[in-house]
Amino acid sequence: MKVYWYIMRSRILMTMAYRFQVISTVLCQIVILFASVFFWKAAYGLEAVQSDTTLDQMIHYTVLSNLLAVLYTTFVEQNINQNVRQGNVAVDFIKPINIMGSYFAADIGMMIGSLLFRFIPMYLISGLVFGFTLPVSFPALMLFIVSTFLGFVILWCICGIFGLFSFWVIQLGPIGGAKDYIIRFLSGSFVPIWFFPEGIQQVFNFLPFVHIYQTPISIYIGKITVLESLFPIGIQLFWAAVMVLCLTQFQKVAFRKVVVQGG
Amino acid sequence: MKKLLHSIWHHLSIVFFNFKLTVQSQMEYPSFLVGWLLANPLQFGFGILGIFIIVSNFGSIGDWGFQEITFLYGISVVSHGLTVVLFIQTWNIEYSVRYGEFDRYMLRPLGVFFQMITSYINLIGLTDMIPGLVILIYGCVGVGFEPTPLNLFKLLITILGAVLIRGAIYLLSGSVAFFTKSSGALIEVDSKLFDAVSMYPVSIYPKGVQILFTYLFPIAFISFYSAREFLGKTDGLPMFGNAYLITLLVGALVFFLAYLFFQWGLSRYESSGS
Repeated sequence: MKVYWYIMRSRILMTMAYRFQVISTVLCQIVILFASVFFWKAAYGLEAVQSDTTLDQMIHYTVLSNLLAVLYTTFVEQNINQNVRQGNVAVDFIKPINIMGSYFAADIGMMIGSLLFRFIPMYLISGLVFGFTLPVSFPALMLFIVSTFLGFVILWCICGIFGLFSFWVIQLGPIGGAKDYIIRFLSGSFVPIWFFPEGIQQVFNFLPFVHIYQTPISIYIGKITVLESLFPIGIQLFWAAVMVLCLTQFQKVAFRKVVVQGG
Repeated sequence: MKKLLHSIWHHLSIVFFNFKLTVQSQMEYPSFLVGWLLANPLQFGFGILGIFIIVSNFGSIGDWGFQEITFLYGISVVSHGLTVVLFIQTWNIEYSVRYGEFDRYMLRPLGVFFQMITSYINLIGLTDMIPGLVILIYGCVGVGFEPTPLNLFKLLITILGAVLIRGAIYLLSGSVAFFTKSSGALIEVDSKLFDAVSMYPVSIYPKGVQILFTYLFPIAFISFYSAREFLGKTDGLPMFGNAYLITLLVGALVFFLAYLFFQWGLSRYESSGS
C-alpha cells in the first residue's frame, strides 16, 4: 500500500512542477466553459422557454461539466502505450507491485493535483463571472463526491482497456481521440441526455457513459433529488464493478501477449 | 523577367519535391491515417449533432437556426482543415527553436520561412476537410445558397481569408517561441478560441467580447461576418462594405504582421548550443 501512496504523492508533486502547462489547460478549459455558457444563454434566449431545466441549472451544469473534465484526466492509456512501445513493460513486470494498480495510483495523484491547481482556480474564476455553483444540499454534495469517484473509475477502466490494445498494435495513435469524442458525446458532457429523444435517452441511461458526467452533475445541481439519485448510483456501482472485472480479465490476456521492444 | 520565372519555377519544384517526400513519409503509417479518418469526422459530427439536439429543443441559438449554424460551422471546419494542411509547421516552431532546426534552414540558399512552411504539407488535414465539406454542403443546401459563380467565388475568398487569419495567429503564437523557447500552450489556447468564436455565431457573446475578437484579435472574421452577409442577417456589430473582401483583407494584413514578427524572432534566434 505504501508503494501506491508514494506513487500518488510523486504525481501530486509533478503537477506542481509544470506550472506553465497548468496555466494553459486552465485557460483552454475556461475558453470552452465561457463559450458553452454563452451558447446556452443564447439557446434559452430572452423569453421563457418550455424546458424542465432552468437556465441557471444549465449554466451550473456546464460549469461543473468543464470542472469535471479537468479532474477526469487519465494517463493510463498513454502510460501503457508508451511503456509497450519503449519496451519498459519488461521492467514493469519485474516490479513486485500490481502494474495497473500503480497506474491507478498515479492517476489518482494527478487528479488530486488537478483538484488543487486547476479545479479550484477555475471554480473561483467561473464563480466570480457566472455566480458560484453550490450543491443543493450537504447530502447531495456527499453523494456527488461518491458519484464522481465512481464515474472516474468507469472512465479509467475504459481508458485502461483501450490502452491494453497497445500490446497488439504497439502504437495506438489518433484512435484514442475517437474514443474520447464518443465518450464525451454519450456522457452528456456538453448536451445532457435529457434533451435527446425519449427512446435514445432510455438506451443511454443504461450505458456506462452517462454515469461518468451526467449523473454526478445532476446530483450536485439538484436535477435529481438525493432519493432519486440512489438508483443511478446503483447503476454506476454495477458498471464500475463490470468495468473493473473486464479490465482485470483483459489484462491477463494482454500480458500473455507481451512483446518487449528493443534491448 | 526570365529570372523571375526561373525563381518561381525553382520554388515550385521544391514545393513539389517536399510534398512527395511528406506524402511518402505519411504513408509509412497508414494506421494513423485511418485513425484520423475516424477521429476527426467524429469530432465535428458530434459537434454539429449536439447543436442539432439543442436547436430541436429550443428552436434557435440567438437568431440562428440549425441550417444557418451548419453553414457557419462548415466554413469554420473547412478553413480549419486547410490551415492544418498548409500551416501545420507553425505549431512546430517551438521544437525547431529548441533543437536548433533553423540552423539547417539558414544554411540553405532559400528563404527560411518558405522552407519551413513547405517542408511539411500535412495531408492529415484532409481528414478534417472531409467532414467540413460535408457539413458545409449540407448547410449550403439547407439555407438555399445559390451556387452561382459569383457566390462560389465569394465563398472561396472567405475561406482563403479565414485560412490566412488562422495561419497568421498560429504563426504569431509559434514565433513567440523565439523569445520564450515554448509556445505549445499558446497554440492550444488559440485553437480553442478559434472553435469558440468561429463555430458559433459571435453575436451570442457580450459586446465587449465581440469587439475584442473583431478589432483587436480579428478571429470573428473567420466565419461570422461572411456567413452573416450570405444569410442576410443583421445581428452582431455593424460592418460596412463586403464582408468577404474585408475577411481577405484582414487575413492578408494579419498574416503580413505575423510574418514580420516571425522575421524579427528569427533575427533573435540563437541555435540550440549543442
